[in-house]
Amino acid sequence: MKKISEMFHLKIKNTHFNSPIIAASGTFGYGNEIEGAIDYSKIGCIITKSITFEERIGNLNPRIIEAGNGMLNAIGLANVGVEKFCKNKMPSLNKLPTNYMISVAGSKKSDYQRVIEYIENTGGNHIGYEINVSCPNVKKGGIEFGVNKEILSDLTSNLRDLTRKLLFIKLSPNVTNIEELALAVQNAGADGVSAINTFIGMAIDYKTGQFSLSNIYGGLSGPAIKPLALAKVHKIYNLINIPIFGMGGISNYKDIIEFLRVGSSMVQVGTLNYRDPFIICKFYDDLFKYSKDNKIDSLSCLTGDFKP
Amino acid sequence: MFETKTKISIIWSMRKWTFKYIKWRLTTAYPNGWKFIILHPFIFIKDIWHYLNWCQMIDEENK
Repeated sequence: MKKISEMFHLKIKNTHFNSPIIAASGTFGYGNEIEGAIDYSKIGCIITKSITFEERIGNLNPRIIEAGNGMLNAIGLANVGVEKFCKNKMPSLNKLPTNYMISVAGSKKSDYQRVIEYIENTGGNHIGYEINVSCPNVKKGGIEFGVNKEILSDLTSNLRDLTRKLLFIKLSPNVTNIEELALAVQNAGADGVSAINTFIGMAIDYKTGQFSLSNIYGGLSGPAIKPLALAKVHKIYNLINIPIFGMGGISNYKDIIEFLRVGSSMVQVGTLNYRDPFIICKFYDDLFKYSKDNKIDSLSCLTGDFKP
Repeated sequence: MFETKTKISIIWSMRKWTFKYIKWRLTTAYPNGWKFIILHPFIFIKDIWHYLNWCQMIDEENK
């Protein structure tokens, strides 16, 4: 029987991961908030909150609500901005005993470019960037970057020129053919895709007619979207050959294996971090027990291991 | 996989949360973080109640 470090080891480009489980952007703070209380070696990578060029306070309250077996959020990219992030957050993130990736957001192409340029000039131990393309493009009438193949391809190739670190594009599921968008970013030079971001949703009070979120619409995440997310990951896997970070409603180790089997190289845990910020460690332990009991030498063997 | 916890035990498990993490959770939920709780304690209590119910529902689904 192999050691746990060998069973869970994974390499993407030149980056080594000691666990297939990633803490999803926006659900684990900037990454260092729980330092001292959690075993970071059980987390393959932490993806920070999305960073924009300017500081943002986000949308008005209410901006998170529990909705059935999931969560609706319209936080509005609240974050400290790239300057404060580099100055106040990165020094402690650089010392964490795990990988971290920086999520980048913007409202025009130049915003994304400026954030990455600023971070590249500052330096840091981050392994790469996850590009949040579920943001309205103000120069294209508010259409999201992530729903148009040409815009997405152009953005990806521009960002590719700015960094040699990993470049992952977080795809929006609110499109007809997500696999075509995945193919477009692969052809534009992305190292991988994160699939999927949240589904557009809303909630309303049936008695008063009052919308539950101040922004009216929000992103639905959590166990409610898992079957939809699995289908999207599977469709993408059938068309592209770069790694996929699968995500969407993972709430136990069985879900992780399902996402691996439909084509994910690694998985991201998001909403369940709101239930318990230590949950990834539990998933890691459960996954180890499952692998041991079923004599699985390497979890990476499970990627794409499905039967028609 | 989970056992459904009582609301008290969910709150008790939060003792492991660091101050920085609590601050981040509050800032994420409310634009002005701590200040919102001081200004709107009843809304905060109502939100916590919803959150605890949601935690129990997630646990129940994962039994």
